[in-house]
Amino acid sequence: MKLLTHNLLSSKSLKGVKVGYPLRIVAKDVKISECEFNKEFVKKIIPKLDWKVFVNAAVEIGQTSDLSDELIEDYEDDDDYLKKVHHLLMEVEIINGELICPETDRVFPISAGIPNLLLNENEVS
Amino acid sequence: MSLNEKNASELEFQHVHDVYENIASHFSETRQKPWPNVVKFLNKSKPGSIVLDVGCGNAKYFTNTSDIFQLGCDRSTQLAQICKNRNHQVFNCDCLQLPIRSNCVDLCISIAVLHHLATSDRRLKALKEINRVLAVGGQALVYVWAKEQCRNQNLSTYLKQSKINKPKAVSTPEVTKEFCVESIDINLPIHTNRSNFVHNDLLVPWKLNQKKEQENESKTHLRYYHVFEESELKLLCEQIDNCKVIDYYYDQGNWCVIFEKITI
Repeated sequence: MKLLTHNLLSSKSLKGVKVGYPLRIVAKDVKISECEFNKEFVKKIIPKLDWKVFVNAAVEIGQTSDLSDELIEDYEDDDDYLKKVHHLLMEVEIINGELICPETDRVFPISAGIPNLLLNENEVS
Repeated sequence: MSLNEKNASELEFQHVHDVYENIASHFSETRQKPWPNVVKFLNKSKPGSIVLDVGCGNAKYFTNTSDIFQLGCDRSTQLAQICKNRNHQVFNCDCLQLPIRSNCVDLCISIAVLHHLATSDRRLKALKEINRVLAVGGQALVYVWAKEQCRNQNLSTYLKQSKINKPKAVSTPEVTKEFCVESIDINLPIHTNRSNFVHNDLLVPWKLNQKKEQENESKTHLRYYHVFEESELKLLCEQIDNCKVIDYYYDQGNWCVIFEKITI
């Protein structure tokens, strides 16, 4: 699971959950795999992110970076900045670990890189 | 067919989810070729688009482009594993509860998924979930199996593949076999493969190719299908307030809808 995927996931379908976002991450096994830097893609995806959630998730899984809580204004022209975002968003992958609902603490396992967000029938709102 | 929620979910569990877990690798071998009109829809993506495939199976609609972000989900852990092995982003969930925040997906496809849901309410709910996760202006393409497999004198690909149907017209099986789903005490007709549909709710056999000597007889799994009448899918979409049907068409034995989310 890449951090871009995490940025989109929510546990809002759980019974009693209002927002279910962001899911907390427990990373037991993190892999870095290089992938092509596509500047246009990164520029266009940034405004679609919940930026704070992204930056916090990177810290939560132990990835050091100097990205701050606030997105810089002129990121579109800053190649170094875009490359840092690309690395954290696309190259860092959680192979084994857990996603945890912020409201109910329900644990969703991540194994072999695949988060399992299937709910039992009695958990659905 | 009218089922309560509990029985519908039980039927889907036994005759959809469980079957896909058992046939995943064989199913994947037989599902390699993308349908051209689905690819055409996906080509609407722009750099930075977030594209979601609900019921992505073996990831046959994923491409290697770095221009867009492709994300798939499937109920089957085995099929998700196949996607992951192909290096795609995938997670497990049910299409009735997409674990995705609202208003963030630019393009969504759900190909041959909704016909596995056992009530009209559930099929509507799945469409509403897709619409919920779409960004305003985002579009979804949904394919479901049509009851009508012969339209304007053209046989669908599904019927053309039959040895019997080539080249004469379609024959209807004379006797319908039934199968009793004991846990919910309901009888469903077993479909004769590569023939026209007579019923709306039925079980379709999947014969597993067993390797020699493994087992003497090949194992057959029965998958549940609801096949759609001409306007059925469109009418479901029209029940959703904040979406607009952009296109509705018949493609190789499937009813297909493209809809767009118009407001939050």
